[in-house]
Amino acid sequence: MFGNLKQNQTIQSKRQLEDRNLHEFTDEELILEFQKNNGEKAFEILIQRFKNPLTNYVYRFLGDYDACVDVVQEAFIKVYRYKDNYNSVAKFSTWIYTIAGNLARTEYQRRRRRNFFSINSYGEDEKTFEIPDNSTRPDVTADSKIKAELIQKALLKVHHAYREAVVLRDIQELSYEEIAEILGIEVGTVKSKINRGRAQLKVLLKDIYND
Amino acid sequence: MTDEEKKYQNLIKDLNNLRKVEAPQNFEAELWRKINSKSEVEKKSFWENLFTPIKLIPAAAVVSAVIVFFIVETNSEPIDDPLNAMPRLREDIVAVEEPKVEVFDQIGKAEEKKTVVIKDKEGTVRRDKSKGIDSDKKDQSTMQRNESLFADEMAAPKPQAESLKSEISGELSAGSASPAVTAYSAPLMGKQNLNFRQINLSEEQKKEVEQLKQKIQTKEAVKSK
Repeated sequence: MFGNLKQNQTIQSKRQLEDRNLHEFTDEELILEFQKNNGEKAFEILIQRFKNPLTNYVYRFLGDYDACVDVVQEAFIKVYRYKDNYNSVAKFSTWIYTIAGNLARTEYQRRRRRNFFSINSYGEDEKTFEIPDNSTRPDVTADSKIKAELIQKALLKVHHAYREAVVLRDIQELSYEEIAEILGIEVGTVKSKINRGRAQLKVLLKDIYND
Repeated sequence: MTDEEKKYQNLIKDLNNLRKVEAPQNFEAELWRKINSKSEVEKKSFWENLFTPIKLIPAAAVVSAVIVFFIVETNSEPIDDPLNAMPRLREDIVAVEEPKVEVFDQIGKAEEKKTVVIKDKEGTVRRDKSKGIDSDKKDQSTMQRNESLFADEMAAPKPQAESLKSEISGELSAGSASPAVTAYSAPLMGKQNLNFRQINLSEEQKKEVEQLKQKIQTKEAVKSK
């Protein structure tokens, strides 16, 4: 009896140590762990690491929170199902951003075809949308919230090819090389798209940036 | 920071400061629920999907219908639309009429020649032949139409059957005309002298011909003496 309890304690401590070790793993090491040993813990850690950045990226691109959550979940499902397709040469973040970006683009096209948007219809509608946010107080951040809403509306009016480049660069703060890899285009083209997107944004937000 | 980034400095700063949107609280639970529910649905292979009874039965019905259609189609006789069909060519009339004209014409010409030869000998026969020529003249228009063809035909060396005919008719013109022999005087001949009728003379007829020949020979012998 005492021996069994001791054995369980050692197993638990071993697992905690392994978990702690997994948290120290890089993204690439985690996905390799998931590939080789089908370790769901490694996959969970990847979810924890990427769920928020991907949600932010897809939300800024689509403008619909529910759709964005679905897209990000679909991206993780694809990673789970097609984990063996990951090539260790590439960065995991690039791979998962590519998957999420493709799904977001598909969703965007589908919505455009159906002419169905749950929010704002590219900002033409004055109806606002709710984003779950517990960290900020409305009275303090009223101005910045209005500005943020205006920027988001303007962002949704920018051409989708430029928009995704601007979001990846100026919101997600990825490097040009990473963006080029995610979008599957040359670095020069990425820079050009970002500049065009910024120019469009500036025109749309001329009331804010009148300098 | 590049020059272009400096140009949009404020904008980039604001974009950077946009509140980060986070995933909902139940994101992972929902994700695992989706993963488990989707993994339960086994993916069927292409062939398994193809050969399901729901798809197989209509496919088999369509294939069998196509096969039956082709079998029926190949065995059925072609049906001519009577409204669109060309009028039927009366081959029997055409085939008979044309040679008749030719034959009459040929016979007429041949007999005309013969009557010239026989003229001095017997007037009665000549008259009969000229009647035949007169009757041929009724179809003068058709004769003219075929004149060139007949001219060619006449210019061509006379075939054996024609020479035999003229010989026989010559004998007949001598006076010993019998119904049996006159029947051979007008054999049916084709336009290009290709359809010669083979005349099989009976024993009686052969004897008659022999007699006639002998008569002619004796006459010639008498004349020469």
